[in-house]
Amino acid sequence: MTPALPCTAEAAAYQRDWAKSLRARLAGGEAYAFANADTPMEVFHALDMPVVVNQWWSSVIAAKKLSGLHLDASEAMGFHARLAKYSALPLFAAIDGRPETQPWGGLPAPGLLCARASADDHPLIFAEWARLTGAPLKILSAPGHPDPEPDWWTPLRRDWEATVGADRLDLMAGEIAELTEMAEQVAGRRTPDGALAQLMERIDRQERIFEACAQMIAEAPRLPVRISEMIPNVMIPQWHRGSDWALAHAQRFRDALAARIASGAAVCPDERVRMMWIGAGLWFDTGFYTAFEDQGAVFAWSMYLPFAADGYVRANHGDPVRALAARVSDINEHLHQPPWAGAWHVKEAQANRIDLAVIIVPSADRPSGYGTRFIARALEEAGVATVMLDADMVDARGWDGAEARARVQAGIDRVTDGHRAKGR
Amino acid sequence: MSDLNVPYCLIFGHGAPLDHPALAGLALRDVTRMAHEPPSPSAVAPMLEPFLDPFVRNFLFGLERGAFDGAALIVVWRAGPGALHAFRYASELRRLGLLPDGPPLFLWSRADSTGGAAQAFDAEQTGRLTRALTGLQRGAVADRAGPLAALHTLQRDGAITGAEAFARHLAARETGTAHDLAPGTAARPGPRLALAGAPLGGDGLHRWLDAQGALVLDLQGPDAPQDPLLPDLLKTHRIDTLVWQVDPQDDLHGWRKPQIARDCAAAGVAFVDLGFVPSWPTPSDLPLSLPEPAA
Repeated sequence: MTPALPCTAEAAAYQRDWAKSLRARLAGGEAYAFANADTPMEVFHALDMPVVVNQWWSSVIAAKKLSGLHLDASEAMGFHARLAKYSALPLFAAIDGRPETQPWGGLPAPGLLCARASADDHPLIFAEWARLTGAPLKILSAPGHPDPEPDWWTPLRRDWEATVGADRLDLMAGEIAELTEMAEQVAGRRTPDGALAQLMERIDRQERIFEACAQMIAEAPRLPVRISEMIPNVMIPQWHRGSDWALAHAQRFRDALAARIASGAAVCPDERVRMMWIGAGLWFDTGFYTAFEDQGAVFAWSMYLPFAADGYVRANHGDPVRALAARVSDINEHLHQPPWAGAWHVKEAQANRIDLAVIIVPSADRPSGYGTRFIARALEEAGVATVMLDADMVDARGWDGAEARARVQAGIDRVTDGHRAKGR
Repeated sequence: MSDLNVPYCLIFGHGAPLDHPALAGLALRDVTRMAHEPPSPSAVAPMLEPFLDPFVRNFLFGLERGAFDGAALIVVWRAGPGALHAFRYASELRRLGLLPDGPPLFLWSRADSTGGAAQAFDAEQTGRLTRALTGLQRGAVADRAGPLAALHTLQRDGAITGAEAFARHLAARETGTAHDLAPGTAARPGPRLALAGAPLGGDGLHRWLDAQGALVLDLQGPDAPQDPLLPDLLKTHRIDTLVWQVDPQDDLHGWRKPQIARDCAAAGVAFVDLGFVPSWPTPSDLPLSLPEPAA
């Protein structure tokens, strides 16, 4: 068994300490923002306003095996079973409200709520939050790109003005200004001059380090670290992106990776099949990701690390608010909607020498489930085998682990047969 | 039916504002709730998830069948539930060669906020749309609001059945003609019913409700009043029972149910939840009679 990188435990410890300090700040009466992952939380970071990310908190609830309890209760309250779970689990937990059924005893009522209308249901979910807590709500618009090109990741780094479109940038920049004003009112202070520009510059540096990490992993002869290690090492810093700790942690992760690769250590010394996991994490059964290593099949890729650079690096051009608008516009859509998602996953599959893509299809979280057949088609046309798993990221109730393992096993067998036929 | 020889514009998306000044005087047809079977074989069907919004699915099959080929432009109203995916899928299926070329698609977005940036954005989108519609003949601007209100009144007063009112609403939007206000079959005596929840494409549920009482308020239909008006509507329409349903793939309208149930409770109106009902319901999808209200 490959030992965990020391920085992995450090990231988890930082997040635990951060949560404790957050609770202390909140106990002191400080307001915090509760926001969806695809919102410009840089606004809150620049203001030094605590922010809790909806989908992160949802994954924490699921990892604590509490999702079934809250989802059952939500249905008893009249919310039917097909409503989104990943983005709604924290709301259901908050409605429950009992400290003993929440991670860390639960969160107090937020001072501000923020979501993007990137999914039809997000405004309604957050409206329910606002009704429950009385917190002010900011919904950011998500107008569709009228003419998307498959290759979004290259032009968006620098030429985002033309790629996103001036009209949509004007709108998002204006709404970011409105959100900033709302956050400042709630926090009772102004964002320091230059704070956002400095933050954006540090985020850019952080994401470029993560890009180097992703490239090192892709080019290593065998997988040096599991995705279960990649995810906390990238996502915990991402939740705190641009902070001194996040930047330093990205460097620690890069250095540890380099040392690991130089040592020749690998997750599977006899690595034979490289797999990618497409979609959000399977938070209640992360052991799934290691279930096939005994036969040399590794999950070598998940979106979180490579997306740090492609989804976030945006040249400043002297206007940090507009650069932030360029980052946020379509940020989630790039991962799911055609033609963007298929092209990006093909690019990543090729860079990482992927044999088999396992695609999670959450039928009750349609914005994440939509587009998956287009992704699969693009990958198959690029020579990457695919397996589709009907599963939800946080709802274990319908999860048939044995069936899922059998489907992936069949995919591995197909790949192995193909390798054999090619004499590999 | 409006003159088929006049170049016309199609629009897709629940709640699309047909009265918007950018559309004034155009030959305009709303195809959002039209049913289209997949051709056999269908190149599109394998790309559609089983949980895809039923109206998006029908729209894509309509495109595949060439049902919209006579239009000069297809406007997709971004704010309509599922509409962005209708646009994305249609565009991508064309790019992949799985859908034949047809009328150009135009995505009409609108801001979700209300500040100055939103107003500027909406004005810019209106300008884009107007430019896209250049060359299309515009006639006299028909009054939709008056006939629409009159049709609501006919239904409220029980002068026509719920199914007939629904059919007239759909026909007005799908053909671009004025609402039919001719005398019709009166609603039968019985409890005064309201219908709410996810949009329906077929009238099977309306016919079933017409047999159980008087369906005098249809909140799922096109041009229906919005939820915030519900407490007043329950009162002015003297509703006894509100019947709620969502389609089996719903992930949106269910969020509205608890508030509507609370509004009903506050108004002393019985709330009956039929659960999941297909968008084109048949008798086998419905119970034998109206269930008892939730306690």
